[in-house]
Order: sequence, then structure tokens, then C-alpha cells
Amino acid sequence: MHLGDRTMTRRRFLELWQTLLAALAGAAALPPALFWWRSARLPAGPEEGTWADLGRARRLKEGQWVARSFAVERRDRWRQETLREVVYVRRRGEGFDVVSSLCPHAGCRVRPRDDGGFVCPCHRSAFDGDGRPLEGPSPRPLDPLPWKVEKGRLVVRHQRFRSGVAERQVVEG
Amino acid sequence: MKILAAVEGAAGVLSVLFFALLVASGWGLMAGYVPSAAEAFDSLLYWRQAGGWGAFLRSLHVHLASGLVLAGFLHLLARFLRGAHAARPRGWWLAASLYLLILGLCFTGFLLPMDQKAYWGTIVRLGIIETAPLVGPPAADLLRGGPALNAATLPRFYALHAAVLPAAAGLLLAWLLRPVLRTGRQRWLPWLGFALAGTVAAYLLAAAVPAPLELPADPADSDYVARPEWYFLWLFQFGKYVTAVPWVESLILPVAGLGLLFALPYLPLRRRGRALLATTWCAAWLLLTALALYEDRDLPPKLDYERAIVARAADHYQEHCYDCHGLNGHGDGPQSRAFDLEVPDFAAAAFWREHDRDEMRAAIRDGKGEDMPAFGDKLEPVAIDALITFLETSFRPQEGG
Repeated sequence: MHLGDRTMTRRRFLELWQTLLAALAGAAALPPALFWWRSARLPAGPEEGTWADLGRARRLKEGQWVARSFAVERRDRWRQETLREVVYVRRRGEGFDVVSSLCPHAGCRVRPRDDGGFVCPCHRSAFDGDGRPLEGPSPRPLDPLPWKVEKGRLVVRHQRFRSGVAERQVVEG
Repeated sequence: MKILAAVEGAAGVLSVLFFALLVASGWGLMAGYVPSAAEAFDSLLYWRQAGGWGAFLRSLHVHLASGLVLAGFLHLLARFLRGAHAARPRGWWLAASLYLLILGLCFTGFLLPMDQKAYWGTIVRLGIIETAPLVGPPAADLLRGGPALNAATLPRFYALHAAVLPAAAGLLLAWLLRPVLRTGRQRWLPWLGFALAGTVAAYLLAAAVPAPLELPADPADSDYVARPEWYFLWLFQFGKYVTAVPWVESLILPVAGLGLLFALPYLPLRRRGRALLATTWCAAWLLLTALALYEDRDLPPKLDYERAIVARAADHYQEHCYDCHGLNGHGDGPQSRAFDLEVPDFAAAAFWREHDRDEMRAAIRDGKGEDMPAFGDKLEPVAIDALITFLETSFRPQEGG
């Protein structure tokens, strides 16, 4: 068999086939790879501005962190679900401090300590009474959540933040 | 040297057999498992409680995975100690890559049961990955299918665990075994008996020790303490010593470790040097693992579903019911005595004759009469069911007694 001046040897024929097969395999892998890549860039969680009711503002204890749980309706990709969330709240006169209970290091839930601070049971990140990191691997303070008082009730915005990074970055809500 | 060759051969044959059995048991499990956040746990719990082959296959799969992590490590260790890694570098790189794929299979398989361990463990692992500067967040996003855990995460892990990674591992394994099969050198034959014995042991272990399954994943739980599998405890412990720069654990150590693993054939190591390096690594591994276990000695044990659900129901009773229903379910709690509330007596046989499970479920969920409040927003349906089981086992008098 002749192609121009070059003789098509058995070896060359097989090499050509191999290249063609590799190209086909690559072409077949491209659409799934693109789907994996592109769909990972879709935003997660509920739309912006999901607020949750934490109860009567006046009834919260002055100067002491308490855990409050609430449920938010959210559309998670194709699934409609009720997500339960836990935050810590502290009243300070007319104002409030609300922080997420998720550790900024790796996303475990932190617990209050007797001294008014917090500690994460997973990697022992410790935070002071204002959520500032004292020791451990947490790259930033506990994440504060926006709040407002409506008709005497405290409402907070449901938000989640990217763990592991020093800069606070909203990933949900 | 002879003993090292024996370990290399035995661990190698055992690894190949375990891999084949993992693929086979995985095919079995795929017929009864639904990779959806809403149903994954329920499907596994169903087979677990039904007993039989479904429960056995999952136990086998879980134990074989641990066995493969161990056998694969021993094979690599013996290869290195014999100097075979430098004599045949390509075989070493293939075997090391295959081992990394196996660890990837463990990582992705870990999430599939969607119990507390799977959920919180994966949250932490992805969180650790995210601490790596620049590459961490995009890598975690790609694995998770978004900036936070979402409904598409489990299907992704499932696709990696059941299709992508096994296919890649199968190709690598075929490539690795090619010289053995082509030259027909049958040095591995003597180890076949050993491998069969290992397989029998795995089957017996799977029949005797069920794979653990904890409570279903609860994203709102604030009590769960996540811990890695035994083979990653050393890394977990190491992370405690570099808390000021967390990415030493997530980036520097993995990159340095992988670099060393793949550069080993180029290092001019004589027998003494190899023995020293291997001993140091094993000693460090053992020390860090032991330290991690020791420091966790006060951690409450991780309970299996059946025991955990009862323990949790007891907590819920204490928290929500005790005030009115009382310590022994007579309806004589401090609140009901103080306010003269109308509370039934769970210790009376008549109560259980007059109320069925559906009625009790509705009463707990929606409240009943003037005095029984609704707990539907505090307790999940599963927790309500467990609570009724708890009431029944704790207070219901024996019939005919």
C-alpha cells in the first residue's frame, strides 16, 4: 500500500490507529469533563435574603451566648428541602451579636465554653467571647450574621461561608 | 531478603484479590443503593435491618477496603525494602499511583452511607482541602459540585467511586500485571493459597462483624465530633502540631510526600538507607496514630444506628417530655403536679390498648388536647418514631404480667 512516496508499513498503520483512537477517547471525555467543571460553578443554597425568625428579641439574655436553631426552606439544585441551622446569639443592650456555629477552619460546629468563648471539637480551634480566634487552625474569627429586629422579633439572615480561607466569602444565602 | 519477597508476593496477590472482590461486592451493593441525599441512608439501613446478603455485602465491602489499604501498603513497603522500586521504576510508579487511586476510592466511598460519620467526615476533609492556598477551594468545589455541599455532591462521589476511579484503577492494574502475565513468570503461584486464606478470613469477618452505620446525617447537629478513618489518624494528629499554618497539612505535606514517593527510584539508597527510611516512616505513623487514639480516649464512643436511636430518644424524653410525663412515665412530672395537667400514664396497660402508634405519632407531632404541646418543629419524624419505641420499651407493662 502506498501513500505518496511513503510506504505504509504495518507498524505505521498501527501507530496511526492508536493516535486516532486516543483522539476519539479524548473527544468522548470532553463533554463529561465540561459538565463536571461547569456544573461545579453553579451557586449553592437558597437565594439571597432568606431570613429566619429567632423569637422575641427581649427574651434573649443580656451578654450571654445562647444557641438558637431555625429552619429555612431552600431549593438545593433539584431538591426542595428544609434545612435546619444553628447559630449563637447574644443580646447587648438594644443590639445583638449573631454568629454562625460552623467553624471557619473545616466546618464542624463549635461549642460554647464556660468562659464565654467557643471551641471546635474537631481540631481544637478556640475563640474568645467576641468570636476572635485564640488558638488552633481557624484562619478567621467566627462568622457574624446580619440581623434585624422586626415587630419585636429578632430575625437573622441565613448565610454560610467558605471554610479554610482567611477572607470571608459567602457561599450560601 | 526471602521474607521480603514473600511479603511482596503475598501482599500483592492479596491486594489484587481484594480489589476484585471489592469490585464484585460493589456491583452487588449498587443493586440496592440509591445515591441521593434523601434516600442513600434509608436504602442502606433497609438492607442492614433486613439482614441477609445485602448486609453481608456491605460489611464485606467495608472490611475489604481496610484490608486493601493495609495489603497495598505492605506490598509497596516490601517492594521498596527489596530495592525493586529502583530496579523497575515503572512498576513502582504504577503501583504507587494505583495505591493513590485506592485512597481516592476510600475518600469517595466514605460519603456514600450518608450517616453522621460520612457527612461530618466529608465536611472536614473538604474543609481541610480548602485550606490549601489557591488550589484548595477550586479542588473542593470540583469534588463537591459547588461552593457548598449540595444535592449534586453525593451523585458526584458515587460516579467517582463506582465508575471513574475503579475504571482507572483497573487499567493501571492491567498495565501493572502485564509483564507478570505476559512472561508467564509464575512466582506468584505459591502465594495463591495465602491469598485464598485471606479471602476466607475477610468473608468470615464480614459475617461476624457488621459494618458500622451511625445515625443519618444531621447538618444541624452540634454534638458530633468527626474523626478520620484509622489510616488517616496520623495526618489528623500531625495537623494538630501545625495549627498556625494549616496548609502545611493540606498542601506542603501531601506534595512533599507524593514527590518523595515518586522520586524514590532516583534516590541513591542502599539497603541500610532504605531500612532506615522505612522504619522512620512506620514509627512516625504508629506514634502519631497512637497519640491520636490516646488523646481521644475520653470521646464518647460512636454508636451504631440501633443503639444511638434509643440513646437519643432517652435524651429527647429528658428534654421535652420529662417535665410533664415524669421519670417513670406516670404523668407525674414537676409541671403536671404543679399545674394539675391532664397527662396519661404510660405505665398503664390500658394506655397501650387505647392508643396505637399512629395516634401517638400525631399527638407528639401536632399536640393533643389543652395540655400536650406540638413537637413537630423540634423532632424529626424518625426521632418521633424512636421516641415512641423508647416509651414502649421503657414503660409499657408486660402483657399478662
